[in-house]
Amino acid sequence: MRGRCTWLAALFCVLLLAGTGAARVSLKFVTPAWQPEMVDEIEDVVAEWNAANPGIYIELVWVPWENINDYLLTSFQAGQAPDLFHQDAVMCYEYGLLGYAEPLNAYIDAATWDDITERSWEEVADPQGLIYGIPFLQETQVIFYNRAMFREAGLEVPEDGMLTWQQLREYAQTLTRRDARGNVTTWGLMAPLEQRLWWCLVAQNGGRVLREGDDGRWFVDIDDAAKEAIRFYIDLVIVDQVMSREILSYDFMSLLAGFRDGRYAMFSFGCWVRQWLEMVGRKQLDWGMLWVKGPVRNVTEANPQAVGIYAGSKHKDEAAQFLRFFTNTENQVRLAKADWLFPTRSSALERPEFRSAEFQWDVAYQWLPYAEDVKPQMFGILAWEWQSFIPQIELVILGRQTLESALQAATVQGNQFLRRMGLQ
Amino acid sequence: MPSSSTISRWPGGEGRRALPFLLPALVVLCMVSLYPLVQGVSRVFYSYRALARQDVFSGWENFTLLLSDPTFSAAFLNSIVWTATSVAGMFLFGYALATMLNSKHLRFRRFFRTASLVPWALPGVVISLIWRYIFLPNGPLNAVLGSLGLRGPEWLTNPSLALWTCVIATVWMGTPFVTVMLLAGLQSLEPELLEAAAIDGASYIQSQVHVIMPSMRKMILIVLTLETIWTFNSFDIVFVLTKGGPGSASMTLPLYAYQNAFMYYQAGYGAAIGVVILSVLLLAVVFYIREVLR
Repeated sequence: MRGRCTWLAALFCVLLLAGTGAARVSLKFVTPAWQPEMVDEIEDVVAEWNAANPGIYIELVWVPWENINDYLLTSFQAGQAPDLFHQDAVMCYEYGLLGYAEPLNAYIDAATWDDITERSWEEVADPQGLIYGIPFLQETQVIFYNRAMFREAGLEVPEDGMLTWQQLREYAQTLTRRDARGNVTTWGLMAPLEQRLWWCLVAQNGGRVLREGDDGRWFVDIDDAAKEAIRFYIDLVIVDQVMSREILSYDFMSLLAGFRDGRYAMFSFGCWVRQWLEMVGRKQLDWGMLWVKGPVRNVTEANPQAVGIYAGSKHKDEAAQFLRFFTNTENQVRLAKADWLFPTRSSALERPEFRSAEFQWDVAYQWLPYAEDVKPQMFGILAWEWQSFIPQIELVILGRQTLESALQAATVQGNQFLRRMGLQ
Repeated sequence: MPSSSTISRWPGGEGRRALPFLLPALVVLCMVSLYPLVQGVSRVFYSYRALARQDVFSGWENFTLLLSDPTFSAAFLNSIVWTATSVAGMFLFGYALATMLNSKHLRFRRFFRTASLVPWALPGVVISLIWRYIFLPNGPLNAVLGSLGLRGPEWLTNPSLALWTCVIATVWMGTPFVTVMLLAGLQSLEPELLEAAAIDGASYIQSQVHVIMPSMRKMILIVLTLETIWTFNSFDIVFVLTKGGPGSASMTLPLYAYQNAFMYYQAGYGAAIGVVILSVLLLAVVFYIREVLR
């Protein structure tokens, strides 16, 4: 009798477990988040979800930013992509057009539509209005400067924190130092090509590099305002010699160490780098932020990030439930603070911590009204940029080509590229 | 016992009877090798319209575009320089190490022989990550240079140094294979040959150049050809160390093919670069087969 009871109890347990297992959905969520505070915060948010929702288990997958696109594209093509992915908003849009990202319109409630800014939605929407990701983080691109060096050189930052192009050049010239043999010991400015200060300058000058025709076809068509902006950026290296050729390729930690050690007096990057300056400078580095005033309009790069759902996921409804939780106001505040970025929800942006003077949140915040995606919203924009445009600019920076011939070649080859992509 | 010529005769005899036994292996070989090759080569004549998600026939366009692509030119030249210098470096170090490990005067010979194989036992990505750490501006190499009063350069981001940094890592990774192969060759040499050379008054260098190396000619050629093929085709070291940068200073053909196919939605263009790689390597393969069969 006792043995039979034991068997029955065991059978009951097995059935219970099997039932629980069958009801539980397991979803993979890939994220490239890497800043320590952000990693902890994402783990906490996911752990809270898993505790509160035993039926939908989220498994985190970490992939570095530099490999996330390769990882996702190859996973999509193999039909084995994670259910949810965190990427640049512009890439969510591309994945949507490629058929890899699920349109999310049906999953977004009215309150979320209204709460997230129109500008952020535009980053992930196709011309038909289909949304391929929920934007949840954005930034402002800024120029970090060494306050001690500015004081020593007698330079002052205007009250609004913005320099004109001419001032930026003059300040960089004043700050650039050379030793007795003429070797540069301090570069006035460091604006890595990858960080797209040049795109901001083009936008600030009202310039155009890519043109969309009425029929939706795209052309490389670099106008004079864009040429002037690109020339200004390149002249900082070639003519003024206040910026090193290291802008072609840089190591992030070396850049920070170089700023700390006085190798660079100013450098251009996203406002999230404040966290690293606090760490690398051990709270003793006296740094500030400034930005460039546009001749035509004021613009900075927003570079929003979003989370999307894989179109091939078998559990889209469950993924959407998690996505709503992950990007709600409370979690956006937590995640944005941890990543030293700004949330996209107006209700989250209202929180006073994003305008606090501590760690200069208020300074980064003041340029948020000017933040937008400075690149045209064209399918394959990054592929075009790095396959056909940037290689020509690099040749100019390396002194192997004039800017005129580079832009001419970039136009011819760029149009060939767009035609091959089916954009013409 | 049938002769090899009987087996190779196709219509009849042992050869015909062997066919059913060979068929499974041939089918697998065709699936994993021939089919991808034909697929890859056929893609060369198409351009992928990513937005429309379709391939469009474009004839020889992908090849004509290669001719005017500055990154392709740089990658082609870099691949040649990278392969030539890396293989030369591997041979020099490998030969020196093999000679040293073959010496009867070397103590702990077994230990050193085993230790010399360590780089070969590590995956390429791990080796690349180790070298990436070593070459970081604040990494161990520059720390050593700094302690000597020298300012270490930006190994990975300086356009003049990036490719050479990749060469150093490649040489380190490839040297053990060369060492093992040449060591085997050295051990198979007849001792009488060296003794005769010594009696004839040949110096150490003369023995190496006129006796040992000619005796190992076939082995050396095979090793050099294999290393040339592997290095030219290698991807991991450049991908992890420099990603082909700065600019295209260390871009190589395999990396550029990968970028086009997987990052720029240009599968046909990537395949065209692949065909160029294949053509270059075919020369080496033909040479290798000729040497092996000789």
